[in-house]
Amino acid sequence: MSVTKTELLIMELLVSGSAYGLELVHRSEGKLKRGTVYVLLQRIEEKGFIKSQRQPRDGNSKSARRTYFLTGAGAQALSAYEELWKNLEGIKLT
Amino acid sequence: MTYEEVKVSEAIEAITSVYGDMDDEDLVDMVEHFVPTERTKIENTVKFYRDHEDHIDTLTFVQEEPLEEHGALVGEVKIHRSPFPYLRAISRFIFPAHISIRVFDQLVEDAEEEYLEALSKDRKWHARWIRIRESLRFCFTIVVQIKASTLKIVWSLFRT
Repeated sequence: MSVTKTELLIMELLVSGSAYGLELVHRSEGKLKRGTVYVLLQRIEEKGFIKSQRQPRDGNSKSARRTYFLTGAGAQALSAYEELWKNLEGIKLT
Repeated sequence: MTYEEVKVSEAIEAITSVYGDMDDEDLVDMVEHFVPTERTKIENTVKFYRDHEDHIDTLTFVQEEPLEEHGALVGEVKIHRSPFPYLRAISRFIFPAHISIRVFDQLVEDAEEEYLEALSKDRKWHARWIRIRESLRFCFTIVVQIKASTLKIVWSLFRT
């Protein structure tokens, strides 16, 4: 299963804690766009790397807004990609 | 006034305009169905609405009494309808429910929050700008989602 660079970025941002879409856009400092972030989140969720749940409000009710968090599979995929990236950086072209 | 309070007031207005006169209890039940929040808050607002029905402009839901006196959810503010429900309707028409909920409802939630925040600060022109900008963003997201869904279908066909 392939993961794009932007999807990896979202997963990296979720390592520091769960967040909702707009929060991720703010955390990314302009790398993520509000118009595409939810499309990407939905795609990563389908792959099983993140999960979402409706955000609780002050009372017992829940809002339509969803909070996203990294799953075990997502954390594994992220560390595998980081490992791969380190190995690639170590290779010197002769 | 919080976003939740605005929603409760809007729901009361919408339900009474559609169903006309109804028991307070039925009205509270219906509002609770549309805006799940603390029942006592809804009951207070319904009571306030009943007490001041004659003085409330049904279109703008404006009233003169101070908020603290009644413990109700409507204060000395003008309550506006959110201009975004039609966006939800469009997304539900085009896309399956799970995409509509996970992609477009989130987008509309963000837009509504920003829009109502601007109105609460009395920044009407900024709110109008948000309305236009978010509608355009919504259209852009529809294009992105259609592209993503098409690619997914093509890829699955290619693999089989």
